[in-house]
Amino acid sequence: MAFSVFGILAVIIEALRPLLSFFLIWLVIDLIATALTLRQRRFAHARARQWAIRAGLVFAVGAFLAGPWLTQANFADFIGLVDWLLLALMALAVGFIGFILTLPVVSLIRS
Amino acid sequence: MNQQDKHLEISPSRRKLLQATGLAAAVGLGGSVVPTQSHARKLKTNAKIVIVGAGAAGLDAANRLSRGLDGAQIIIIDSRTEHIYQPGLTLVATGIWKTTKVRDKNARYMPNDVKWLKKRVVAFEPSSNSVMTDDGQRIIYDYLMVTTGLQVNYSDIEGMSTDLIGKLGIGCVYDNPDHASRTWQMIDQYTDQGGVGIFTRAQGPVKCAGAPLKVTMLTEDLLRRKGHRDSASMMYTPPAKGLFSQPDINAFLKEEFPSRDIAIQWDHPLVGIEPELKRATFKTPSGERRIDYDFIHVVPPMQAPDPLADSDLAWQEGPFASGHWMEVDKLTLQHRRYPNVFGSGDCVGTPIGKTAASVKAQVPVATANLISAIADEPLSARYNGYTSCPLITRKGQGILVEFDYDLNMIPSFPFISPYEQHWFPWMLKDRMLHAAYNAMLRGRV
Ligand SMILES: Cc1cc2nc3c(=O)[nH]c(=O)nc-3n(C[C@H](O)[C@H](O)[C@H](O)COP(=O)(O)OP(=O)(O)OC[C@H]3O[C@@H](n4cnc5c(N)ncnc54)[C@H](O)[C@@H]3O)c2cc1C
Repeated sequence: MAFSVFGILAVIIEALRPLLSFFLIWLVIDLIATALTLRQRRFAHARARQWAIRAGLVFAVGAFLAGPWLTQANFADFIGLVDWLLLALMALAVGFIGFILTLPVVSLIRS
Repeated sequence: MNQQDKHLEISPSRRKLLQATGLAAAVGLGGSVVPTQSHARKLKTNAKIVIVGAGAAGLDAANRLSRGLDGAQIIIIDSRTEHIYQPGLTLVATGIWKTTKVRDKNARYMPNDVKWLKKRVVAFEPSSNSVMTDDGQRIIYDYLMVTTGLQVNYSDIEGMSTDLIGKLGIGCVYDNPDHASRTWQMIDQYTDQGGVGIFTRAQGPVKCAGAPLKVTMLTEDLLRRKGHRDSASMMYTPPAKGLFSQPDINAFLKEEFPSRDIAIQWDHPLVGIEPELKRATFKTPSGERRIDYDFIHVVPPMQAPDPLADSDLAWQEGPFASGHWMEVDKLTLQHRRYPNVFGSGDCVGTPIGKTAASVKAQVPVATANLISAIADEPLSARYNGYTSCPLITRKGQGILVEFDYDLNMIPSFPFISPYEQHWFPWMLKDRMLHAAYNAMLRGRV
């Protein structure tokens, strides 16, 4: 089956649909925080980046540990490197999203 | 004069308009099943298109046609307002999902500019380009898309009725949440108490041929998890000498079932049950055989819905005539005798298919070709027979099986072996495929 970028985006939106309002609220808060911190020239300052990286790590580790449980499975169901690598990739993606989403808000923290 | 000429002669003004207007929006798929419609220009037309059936294929088609055409009058006919995510029924029947997860509403996916007639079609009359609804209304079309799904013939098994599902050790995952949850009550009981479990498979094409296998393997897994495997004796009863159409998976299952102590009784089509006696009758090559059971998973024979089966749209001869499946060209999905009629989904008579995954590959082809037909251009989109089944072997593991008309494996994810059990296909089934299905209903994948 061939994939298109639009198709993948459509699937992600459908997967997140139950949480879409939560993400939208977070996005609005992020936009406000970005606007405020850009005006004050302190968007993504060093300390904010540190905090966002920590938050991203928490998200990534959380996703890695909770991944099997969220699918009603457990680590014993993992067979071969592929399953572990895919879980790690998914955890990384979640961690990156966590980083992106927290960065504007933690930028409000004074450096 | 062929049917298309006849049809066009009926409305010459419309023909002129169709020829004069715009470009096809979704042509040029050139052997591929990938839709390009969403990025192409809309075709201006005043064609009247009727879609019969608002299930997986019907909704997908409605969304694609609505986006691909400008000015067309699109009507979809289906009295059903609830939408069921049928691929989730195996998980409901084995206690892994709640029924709420598979219940949805057609209205959520219905495009605004498509007129939804909440009726049923009782007759297809392709020679007069019309369908008849249950309230006696005749609806004329220029183009018809048939997406009625299929009909489960419970009564083909003597003694069987849908009322029995969930009683006296009888389960049947086909094909609604109520049947699936009543099946779960029986499987829950069986996996607590043990005994003889019979898992059947009907003769002829059934929707999701993997579903009876998944129910069997998930039940076996549950018996193990509950610590009752030793008190249960399980048998799988295929109607012929195969377990799955794809040869590699067939070979895998032929080893997997015996290794899990699931006996395979070849050539055992179920023909009757005696519910009170808990006895099943099979028509084997050496005569009728009766087997007592504590639990039986009944998979009845399936065919095209009666109004379609009784119409001239059905195959009149050949391998698909016995199931009265709709006669289409297996590559273009255009009717072979009525060129203004297209079909997709479970109702069509193609060598393989009858999965939501096939719908995902068929509908872009059928709609693109319908649009090409309106534009009087060659039909260039082709369906390669793509079908897929996340063959769940136990809770937490499965095999992602994807193949085409030639029964060649065509994995979407080359790094996942289509021959080995993994967690990833299970994760897809449990978490991602429902989202992909919903995106498909919106005509987006
Ligand atoms: C237990 C089970 C497990 C499955 N598992 C999988 C899986 O793992 N993977 C997978 O890809 N697929 C799976 N499938 C198959 C998949 O769900 C179907 O192939 C798919 O839903 C077919 O779509 P369709 O539009 O052709 O039919 P449907 O979705 O059944 O829709 C048909 C529609 O047509 C309407 N209709 C029928 N007759 C008429 C009429 N005369 N007039 C008007 N409307 C009419 C019906 O009301 C219905 O809304 C499974 C199916 C079942 C039952």
